[in-house]
Amino acid sequence: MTIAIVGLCRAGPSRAAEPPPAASPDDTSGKSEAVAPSDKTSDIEDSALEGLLGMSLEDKLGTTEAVSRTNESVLRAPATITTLDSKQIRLSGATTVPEVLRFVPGVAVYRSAANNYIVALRGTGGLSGNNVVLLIDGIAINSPLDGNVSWDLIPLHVEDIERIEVVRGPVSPTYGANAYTGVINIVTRTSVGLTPSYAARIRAGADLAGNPIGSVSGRFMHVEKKLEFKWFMNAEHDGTSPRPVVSTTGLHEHETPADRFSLMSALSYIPTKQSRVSVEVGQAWSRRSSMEDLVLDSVPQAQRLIFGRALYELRELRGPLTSARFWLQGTSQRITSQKDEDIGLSYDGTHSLRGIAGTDLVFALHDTLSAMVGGQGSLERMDASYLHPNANDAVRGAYGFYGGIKASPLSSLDVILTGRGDMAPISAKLEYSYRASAIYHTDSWALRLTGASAFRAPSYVEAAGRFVDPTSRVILLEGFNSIGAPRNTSVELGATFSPLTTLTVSPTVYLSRLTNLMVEDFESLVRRTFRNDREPRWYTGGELEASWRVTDTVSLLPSFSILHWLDTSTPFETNVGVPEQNSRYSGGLRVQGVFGNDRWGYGVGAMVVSPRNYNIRAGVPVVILSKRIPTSAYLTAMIERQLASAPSVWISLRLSAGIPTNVPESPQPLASPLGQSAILGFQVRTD
Amino acid sequence: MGPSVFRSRLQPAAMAGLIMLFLTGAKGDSTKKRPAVILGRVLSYELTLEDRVGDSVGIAVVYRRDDQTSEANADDWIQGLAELSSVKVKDRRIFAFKVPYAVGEMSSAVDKGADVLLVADGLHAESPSIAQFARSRHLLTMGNAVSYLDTDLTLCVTEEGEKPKIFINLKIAHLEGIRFGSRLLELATLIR
Repeated sequence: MTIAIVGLCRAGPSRAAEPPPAASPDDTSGKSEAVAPSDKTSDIEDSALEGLLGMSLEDKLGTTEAVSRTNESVLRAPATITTLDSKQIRLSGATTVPEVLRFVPGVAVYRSAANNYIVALRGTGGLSGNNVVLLIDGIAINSPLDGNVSWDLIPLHVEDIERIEVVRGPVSPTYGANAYTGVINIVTRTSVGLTPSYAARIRAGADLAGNPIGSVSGRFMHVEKKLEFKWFMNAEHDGTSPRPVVSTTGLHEHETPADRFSLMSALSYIPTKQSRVSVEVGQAWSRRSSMEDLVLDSVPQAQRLIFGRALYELRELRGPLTSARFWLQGTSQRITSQKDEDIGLSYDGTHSLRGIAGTDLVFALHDTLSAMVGGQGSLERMDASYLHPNANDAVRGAYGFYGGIKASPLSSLDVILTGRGDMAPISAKLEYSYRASAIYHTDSWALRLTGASAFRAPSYVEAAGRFVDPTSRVILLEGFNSIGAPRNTSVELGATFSPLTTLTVSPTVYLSRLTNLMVEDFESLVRRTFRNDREPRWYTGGELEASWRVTDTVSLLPSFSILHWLDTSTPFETNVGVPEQNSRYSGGLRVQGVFGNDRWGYGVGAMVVSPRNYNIRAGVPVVILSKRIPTSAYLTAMIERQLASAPSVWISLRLSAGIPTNVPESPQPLASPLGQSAILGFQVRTD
Repeated sequence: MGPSVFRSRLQPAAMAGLIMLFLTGAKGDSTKKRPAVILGRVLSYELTLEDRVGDSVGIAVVYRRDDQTSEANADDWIQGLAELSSVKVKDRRIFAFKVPYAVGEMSSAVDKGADVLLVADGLHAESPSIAQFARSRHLLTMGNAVSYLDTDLTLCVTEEGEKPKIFINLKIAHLEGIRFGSRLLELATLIR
């Protein structure tokens, strides 16, 4: 017998055996009994596997730890969550995480320069990037300095991500400070199935101006008995950067291409199904344009992030204690920047160190009642030349603690209450956050009502900043320790339902109230200080997303969001929560799929956002920004083809474009347009 | 990719409904009807199927000759697989027959067109040699119980309570020269 197997043996023709005749029901004498085909046939490919498996909506949506830091089903989680899996990420054609996030409703992504993004959730668009918490496998990598997220410091390639979980709404009851509009959790690839498993990629391309873009990246994962090892590497160059001719001070000409290099590895020991000990370490180095909230100029700025975590987990225990987690975590972040005397404030020389120890415990009090308690303590040191001498280079402590209960009075109803207290290191004030949720769920739909309040801790800059102009000796920036924490209180009603086996729809409406927002208080036009806005800001919004697997080869992923401000009569001086700085509408559609026996993959997407207006003072020294960003669109397309199956070698082409082509989507004065780029890639991977 | 991929998708919904209807309506006739239909659908996600089978897909249900429980289990599968006589997988008809365990019998089953070896209960001790036999011939192996997948076989379609589940050992699948589509791997439980 000769069998042709792709990638294993190509010798010989396929075997073509005829089915034996049907056995008579009375015939029991033969060694074998046969069931032969009938004359009337239909294709089994026409039936949905999800339907045959009788999968409930809860089965299809899977589980998450991003909302409550304990494993729970997405359907019954007490917050709005969007999950993007590895296949969706790969077929999105995106080369960075923010580009993937563009298609998530309620998420606004603005690119200032190559690898320099601001990601804002639900009405917090502006120049600040500190309104959301970014986690890598549960490790927060926000800057201890100001809570900002540097998206270029994500220590792995976008295709080495197992899934991205975007939780929208106040999540401080779980994560403490800064998770006041949401949390984005990135889960690294896991080695389920094959071992060892690997991927190696090389990509190169350019924009229309001929500026180069390229990357080399890969992963290796191995499971040996009770040990699991993961390793990730990524090196990227993005030359599709801004080319500012004149700086804000009118003196400079700079080009700031983006480069980054990262390594991350994890070693886990899994002695039993119920326990796991793991150590994760990573480092990311990045250099890109300096453009940020305080630094409007575009000079090369480099950052290095080093982080590590040791984690001991116990799961599915039988006693009252059903799961436990103990962890030690450390991060170090250093910024170096090209600095000229006449550009004002620079982050050059900033260095932060932070160590955290924490625990999360879950107790089963009754069949229908469980309790969650946990807490963390931390020590941190901040060294920055623009902080007040009394605040600079001092070691500070902070702590947080939380408790919650989950009750299921009916088999289809969950009620979850959580409260948390946190003391911020710089303000030394105790802030509280809470969440109350009721979730009614069936096999095919769920309805969720959640009320929550969360906060953002004042940053070092806002509470202890002091920057003196070296030439004039004028104080250009000053913070105050009495500053309060901005707060987001929100009520939302969300639903998830599945009208077809292959279609899931999730609409959400919410009402939010922002209080204590930071006001950029320019007393003398040149001195930047801060105070809290006592005027609450009310707004409401809606988000809609759907996932429809039309066939095995075509999936449609539409999304839409709308934002409406309820009170626009009082002037807005704040740096977030300004109606004009947020697009009122945004909508997008992705079409993805694989075909040709999974040898081809494709994805096309379009996202359109309505106009924004900026009329703000920003930077140190202060600059008035007045800019209108028109309706803009982001278009992306990718196609990949398997060239060989053993090993699995792929070639891919990625195209992306921003429209209009000559208008940047960021209000930064030196921001560059998105441009158009094409990237050709080769990849070897285990599937 | 066959032209059927682009055909109207009104038919699939009707087909799925029909299959579910007869599965729920006819449940009790055979305990393996639902797993058998799912097996048929699983085969449609096998990327290597067209390269390794001919004009039809043969499923040989292997059982222990002197074990009534094993043979009854095989009979259940044969009865369940009878439901697949009216469907096609990648334009190929499916047929099933049972064979008692013995190397000679399995070789003859291959000659009769077996592309899948479905191992019934009672053959745990023999599963390593069945696995060896299958790997050298690039046959897909399937076990009636998940425990077969620990070291020897590739696939198991079983019911946990009322819910059917698919288990796949990818490592063994590769040893057999079998690859599955990404959609199936998303829905199956992968054995490490």
